Amino acid sequence: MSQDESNRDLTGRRPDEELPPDLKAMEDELASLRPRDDRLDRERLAFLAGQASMIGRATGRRAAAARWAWPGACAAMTAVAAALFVALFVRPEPRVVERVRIVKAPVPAQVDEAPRPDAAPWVAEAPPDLWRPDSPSRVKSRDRASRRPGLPAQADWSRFRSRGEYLETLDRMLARGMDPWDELGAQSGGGDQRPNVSPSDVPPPYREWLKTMLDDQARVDRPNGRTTGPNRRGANS
Amino acid sequence: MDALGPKLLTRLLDEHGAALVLYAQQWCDTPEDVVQEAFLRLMRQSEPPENVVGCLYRVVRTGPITASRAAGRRRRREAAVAHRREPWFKPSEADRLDAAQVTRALAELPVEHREIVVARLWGGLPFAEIARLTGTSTSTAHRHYEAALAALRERLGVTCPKTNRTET
Repeated sequence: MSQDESNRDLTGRRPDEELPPDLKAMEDELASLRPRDDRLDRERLAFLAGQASMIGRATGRRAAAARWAWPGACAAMTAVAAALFVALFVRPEPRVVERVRIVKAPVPAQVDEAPRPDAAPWVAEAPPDLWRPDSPSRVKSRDRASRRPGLPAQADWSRFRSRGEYLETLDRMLARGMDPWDELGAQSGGGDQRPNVSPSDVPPPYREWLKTMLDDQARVDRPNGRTTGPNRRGANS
Repeated sequence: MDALGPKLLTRLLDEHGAALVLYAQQWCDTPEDVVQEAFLRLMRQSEPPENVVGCLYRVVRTGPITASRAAGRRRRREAAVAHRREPWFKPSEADRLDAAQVTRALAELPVEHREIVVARLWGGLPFAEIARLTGTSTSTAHRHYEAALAALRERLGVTCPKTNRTET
């Protein structure tokens, strides 16, 4: 038994806790008053106490996980939303790549030397020796062109490997002129798509040369009383 | 409620609820909330404390004081609480003392004395527990209690029975 407890009397008070009689009477008077007990909502307190006791009972790892599940999920979703929101403003501008793509016109298939029966009339009925370098028509045309000043003495038909190549070259010349050939030849690799006529070989007034050639062609066809396609094309161009 | 069952809660409310409210009223304007929070904190504990009543008084005391820790704020709050004229006690015809008058007299006491008087008279705490609550020694608590009773007797004009007998 400690010293403190040994000093207590039967009422639990120590001797020095005894009050003088006048103060004891005052104490009794005051103790007769009852504090107000209508200020606590007992039903509400009992309900909240039940809830609190359940929270206090749910201890351990499982309870902690259950307690933090929803707040954790909410925090994670908030973090993801914030990251996406930031990424929306921080992301780099989309890169625009501009590419120039040149699509070549479809090249007609290689045409045989002999005109097919279903070919265009002016091609089918052209004199067969027109495509030979020593044909009378070419010789005649060459002579006529050599008499004109500033024009080449002869149109070198031997540069065309076939009639198909000639027609193709003619179409390109009518459609594009002569200037884009260098660029077109360089982009296509200078392969077999390019005729073996280089711009340096073409005399400077190429339209004159073209017209001469087409005129010669027209004159060759005229005895038959027929107007040829290339002549009409040349007139249009 | 394994640790603190509903019966114990009801008993604590019956025996100490009103006194705890009165005790909390010495520091704050909303003593009901403070007492309710003290009970809830007690119920959340998995293991009940050894001295349940003393624990309740400690929580009730530290709650309002923690909320208003600054000394100036605390003094202003105590003055405001002391000057409230809301009666602290139930009026009774049988009592010789007027409840409102006692309330006023108590409110005029220093808060250190008021606290000890309330805890001792209506809370029924022993002086050792009061000393632990107030952070003083038992003798100091007893001395303050005596001084508070003397001041109350003087302000309420209550005559001592012995003095009456002497006079008669």
